[in-house]
Amino acid sequence: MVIVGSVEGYISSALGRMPRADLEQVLLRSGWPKSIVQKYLRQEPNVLEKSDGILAISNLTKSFNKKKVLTNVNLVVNKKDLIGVVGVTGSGKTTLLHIIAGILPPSGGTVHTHSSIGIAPQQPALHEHLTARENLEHYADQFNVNNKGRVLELLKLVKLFDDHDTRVEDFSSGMKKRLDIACAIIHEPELLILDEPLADIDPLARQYLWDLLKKINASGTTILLTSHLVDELSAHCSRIAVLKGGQLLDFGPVDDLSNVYTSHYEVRLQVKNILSASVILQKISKDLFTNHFDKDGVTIITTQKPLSLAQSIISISEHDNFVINLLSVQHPTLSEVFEEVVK
Amino acid sequence: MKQHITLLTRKKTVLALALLAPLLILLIAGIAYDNTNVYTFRIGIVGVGTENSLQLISAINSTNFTIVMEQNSTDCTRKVVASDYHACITFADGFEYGVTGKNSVTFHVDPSRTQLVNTIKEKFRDYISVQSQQQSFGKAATLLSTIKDIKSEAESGSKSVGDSVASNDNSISSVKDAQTALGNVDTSPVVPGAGMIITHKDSLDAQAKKTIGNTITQLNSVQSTISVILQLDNSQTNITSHSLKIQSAITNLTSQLSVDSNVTNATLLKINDTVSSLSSELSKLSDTLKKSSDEKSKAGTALSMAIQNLDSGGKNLQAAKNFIKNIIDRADSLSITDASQIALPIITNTDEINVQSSKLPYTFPTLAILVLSLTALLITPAIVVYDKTSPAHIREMLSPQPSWKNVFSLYTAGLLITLLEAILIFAILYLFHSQSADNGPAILFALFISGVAFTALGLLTGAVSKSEEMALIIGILLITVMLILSDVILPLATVPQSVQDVASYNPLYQSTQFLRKVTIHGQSFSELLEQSLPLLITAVLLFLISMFFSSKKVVSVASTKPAFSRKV
Repeated sequence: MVIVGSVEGYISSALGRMPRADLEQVLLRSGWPKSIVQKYLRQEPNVLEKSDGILAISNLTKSFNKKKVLTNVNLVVNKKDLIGVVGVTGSGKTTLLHIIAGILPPSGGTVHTHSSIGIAPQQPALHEHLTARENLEHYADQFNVNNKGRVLELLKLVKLFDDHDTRVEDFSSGMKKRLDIACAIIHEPELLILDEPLADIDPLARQYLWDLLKKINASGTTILLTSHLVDELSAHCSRIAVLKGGQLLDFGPVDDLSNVYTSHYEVRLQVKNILSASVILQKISKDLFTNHFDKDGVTIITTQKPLSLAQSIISISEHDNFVINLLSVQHPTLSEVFEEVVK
Repeated sequence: MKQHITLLTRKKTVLALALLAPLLILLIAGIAYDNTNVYTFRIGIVGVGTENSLQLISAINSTNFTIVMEQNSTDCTRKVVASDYHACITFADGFEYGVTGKNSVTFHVDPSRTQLVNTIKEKFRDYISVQSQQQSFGKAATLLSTIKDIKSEAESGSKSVGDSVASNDNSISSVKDAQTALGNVDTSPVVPGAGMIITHKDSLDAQAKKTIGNTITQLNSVQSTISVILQLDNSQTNITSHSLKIQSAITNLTSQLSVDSNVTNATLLKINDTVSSLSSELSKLSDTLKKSSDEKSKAGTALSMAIQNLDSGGKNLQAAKNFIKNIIDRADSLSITDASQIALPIITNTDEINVQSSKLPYTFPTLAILVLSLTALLITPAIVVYDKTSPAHIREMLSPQPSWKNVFSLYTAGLLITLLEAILIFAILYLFHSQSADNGPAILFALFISGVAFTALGLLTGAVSKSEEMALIIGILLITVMLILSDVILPLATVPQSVQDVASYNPLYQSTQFLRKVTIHGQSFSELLEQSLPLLITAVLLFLISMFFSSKKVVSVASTKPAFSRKV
């Protein structure tokens, strides 16, 4: 095993992908000296002190009434990361964020952070009967922010300066999201947690929000956000964590995940008679594809040999007189892959 | 419909509260309002010293009135004013049924308690009615018993008199017998016999005296002779003379004695005859006397019997006299001189003691506190629950502000609204009863401390509620319980002592009492300040409990295992 960079960095990264016990076994099987493994894994991780880590989650478990919502989640967030957590509803995203924020206690495992945290929950944490300015002033007071200019600064940052005297109840969803983010960073937190910030807003507003988040991220604030919009997350986030059924399926840079999940090809086939697709699949050699599924009337066949597969489909169709409406070869999008993975 | 039922079943806490809490109230009320002692009012009593007054007190004491003896009506009345007693009863000096000037009972009572006076009067009336009946029955029974006794005694008296009459008849008969017996006593034979005896006696006496005289003379002569003889020593010559003389004297004496003997014999004969005659007479007399003695004996017996009969008659008459005296005494013992003594034995007066000092309708303080409590118990929990369920709460939980600041902020908000309501109440009070402004500071303070307590209770209600509807239900239930455990619906004195002890901590009860004291009884600010300390302590405790329920549940290093460290 070749380690690029520091041991701590590697372990930190590896812990983000697998449980500590599993990693220990992997490392021992890979020939790591037992003393080293014990040094870094048997002890509580102190990656926060030795690297640029801002948050370390180890073997995090959370149960509600004996129902496990999170199981052995391991995650390390570094400073200035912009991390997207993706998962279907009920996968444990919000629970994970609430545990990180300290709103919920974990049932097991550890969460280490020494950073100040700002949170923007799924439903904007705003007082609807107050104006934008009053909300900011309220939270400035709550978080002991004495800088009077901070409120105006944030109003300008989220482009609500002109609406500062408007009550929040009169705001659009996008405006509320922006104001909510402004309130969340009123005390200049080192870690900003956003739960579904992109939900319920139009694409234009989303784009504006991404610009805002990038500005905040660029100013040094680490951001951890959840969303269903994998494409957008993959477009803007530095790393992505995939949650399914309370388990962290994967966690890493978007490119790495793309390499893992989108390295294969997808052959898309649509024939006039839908039953013909089944006949074609039965006649194709099993060596030519790894998986297939139907989506929106199109049969998608995953393969590492797209040209051979396409030729085989064409020849079978000609032999059996099947009419092919669509036949294409392409890499899957990250969104498509995750959509299948997290189902 | 299914979805609505499902909605209800899914909100188990709210459903449980809505269903079980009223049952709990019913349980409490069921225990508290045991109607067997519904009249356990505190009554001050002045002037209990007579048997009749004690009887009347026992009449209400037995119906679970709480009776407290007081030395004088001034103290007693003052305690009514201070609401320590529900009423004060003053008995006239030497209270006695049916005695003019001593049979009056005065009730000192707040005008709102006149019904209580009626209740007590009713108790008295019931008791007196029973007493009158019992008295009537008693008197009638006594009369009948007395008449029966009189009859019995009269019958005995009649028998005694009859016996006396019989004794008298017997006496008369005995006396008649005695009279007859005495009539039969013959005294006539005694008179001639006795005369003759006397005559003979006198004659014999004279004869005897004469004979004896003669004899004595003769004897003297003899003696002289003998003396002469004795003197003859010297002269013989004279002996013969003297002997002759003696002879002659003896002869004379003998002659004389013979004569005397004859005479005596004759006399003796006569005496003998007389004695014979006398003996005969005496014999006759003896017979007569014997007959008389018999008759006398008979008369004595008859008289003795008459005496016995008269004595017996006298005793019987004395017994009859005693019987009559007894009858008179019995009649006197009835002592029923006036029928009205039974029908109208007491006079009652009512002294409405608060007429002069009352500035307000009695129900105003109760209504005012009720409004204040409703405001505090509905609005404060709403504010708290809104804050707790607001999306903003998540971020506020993460703020470095201590919990108590937020709790205090919520409390202050609720208190401000409640105090605004209090000011409106005071304004209404001032508008319609401007004279109440005299005691304005005390009234405002009473409203203020009530607001403080109710807001604290509202704060706690909100703190333990998960939703607004839950807070609403709890608030309504609390108000209901407080209403039951106060004197708003029924006097607190009607509940058992144990419940009264609990109820004394009821803010609604305390507040109502405070406002009543300052508005109606004119209690001063300083007095109220002293009395309000328990309510203020209650408010502080409620606030602290609310803080406990409202404390932030943010996970910290100290509260999680394994370790969780976070810097905010």
